[in-house]
Amino acid sequence: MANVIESTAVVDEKEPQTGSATHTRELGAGFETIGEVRAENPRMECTGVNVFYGDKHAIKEVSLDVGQNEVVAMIGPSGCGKSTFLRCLNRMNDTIEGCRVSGEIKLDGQDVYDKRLDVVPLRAQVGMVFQKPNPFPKSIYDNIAYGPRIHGLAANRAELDEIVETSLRKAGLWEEVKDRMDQPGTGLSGGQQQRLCIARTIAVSPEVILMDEPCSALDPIATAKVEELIDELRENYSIAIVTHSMQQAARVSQRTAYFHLGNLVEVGETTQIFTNPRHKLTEDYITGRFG
Amino acid sequence: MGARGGEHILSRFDDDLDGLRDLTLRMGEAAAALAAKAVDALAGADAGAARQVIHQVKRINELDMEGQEEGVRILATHNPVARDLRLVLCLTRCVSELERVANQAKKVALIAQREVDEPSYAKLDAAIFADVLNLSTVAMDMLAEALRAVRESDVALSVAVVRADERLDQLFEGAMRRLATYLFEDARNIRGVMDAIIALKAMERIGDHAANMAAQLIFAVKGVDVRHIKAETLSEDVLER
Repeated sequence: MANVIESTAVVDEKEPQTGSATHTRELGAGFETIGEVRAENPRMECTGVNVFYGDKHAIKEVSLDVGQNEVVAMIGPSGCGKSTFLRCLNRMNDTIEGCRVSGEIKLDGQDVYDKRLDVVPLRAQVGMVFQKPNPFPKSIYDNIAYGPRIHGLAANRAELDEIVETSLRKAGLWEEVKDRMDQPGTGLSGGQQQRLCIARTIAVSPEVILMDEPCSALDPIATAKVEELIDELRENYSIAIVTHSMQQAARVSQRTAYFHLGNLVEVGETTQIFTNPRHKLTEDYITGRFG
Repeated sequence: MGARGGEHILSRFDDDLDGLRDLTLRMGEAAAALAAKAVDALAGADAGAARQVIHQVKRINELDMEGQEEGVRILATHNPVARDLRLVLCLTRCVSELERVANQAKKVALIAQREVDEPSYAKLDAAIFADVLNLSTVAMDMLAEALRAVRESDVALSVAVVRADERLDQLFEGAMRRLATYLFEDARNIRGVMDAIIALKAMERIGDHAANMAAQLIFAVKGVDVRHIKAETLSEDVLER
């Protein structure tokens, strides 16, 4: 049939490359992240961030913004550095012995690693929700009121009540707990406890919320409620979320960042990352070919 | 490296993708055989062959249903993304294209059947018949090559198929102009001309379906949607992305 159809020389796909040796070679010195690391209206700007645990180079020259009213999902295999990077954003790594951070991380233009900066208000501005719900062994009311009290955000009981109610409403928990505010937070279901922790984070008026696998301990219904909440919170906050669930990253985020061996391999619009990623490592990971 | 890429950690996913591709190719071979048989029936005034084509379209419809169900099952169970998602979409869309190829074969078979009972088309000039055969040769080649491109994930071949569709369209337009002259000569040729138009259009549509399949394969492998890009601008630049 050659008379009808003349084949055109087109460069075909790259040859498959597997094995960590290849990966390491690909991501060697001078590796540059694929995609736009900067956001249009950044709340947090990270430039050339490196993290070392003793001799181990855990994060390598990572630059990434978290924009206003956006959810950035960070994905990658275990040990790739995504949680380490997340913890840099509110200096949670300061508490880890032997951990050293270099590079620049700014919150609204202010260097968060400035030695004069008090980390307590920083961690209110950049709140964190962890993998396992960790309510205080206190009443539901006091779980929320604790932060505003120590940060002096309420002048009187009425103001504190309002903060507690508003925070619980924003976390979608108010209707479920309003009649048992004096009961222990630890008595709630796992999903409710996680939303309580999110309400606790909101109560101190953060600008950025960091979430480290917030749904990994929750059932699908509780997960759906938290994801719905993340979508609503985006209207008022910037959110960076680490997740092992590809579907969750695809559902909740506007941008997705893929980490591999401490490198930020690729950043892009979430739709692009999940339909047409540009780097082979990203494609192999999200399609389940990562060996 | 094919559209599917390397192997998945979950081997059943690979098995399912291979299964859907096999089904698509089996359906493609069956649809192509039907189209060829329909043209032969028309050329040979073979009512028996025409009846077989009409009957066998049901099998193509069954494969269409099977392919669509399998595509939905893969989407629901494996939640494919990136090139896997594009491949599943490509294959299910190819299945739809092939179902339409079979429908075009049926149209030609119906004309062939009628021609046996009431010859009209055969009275026309042999040149018109030669046009149908010419178009069918190009359309069948395009279909065979589109299927080969899907089998081998061959982007270059897919580009060639998309480009070949332009030539088929030119042949179709030329044939249509010639047919018009038969009506000018004698209006009583209308039925024969109408049948010839239907047969020519069926071949032209089979070429379109082959080109659509080729465009889907390019999408699956490269992630570039070329359906609305003109063939002449389908450059290597686009495909190298």
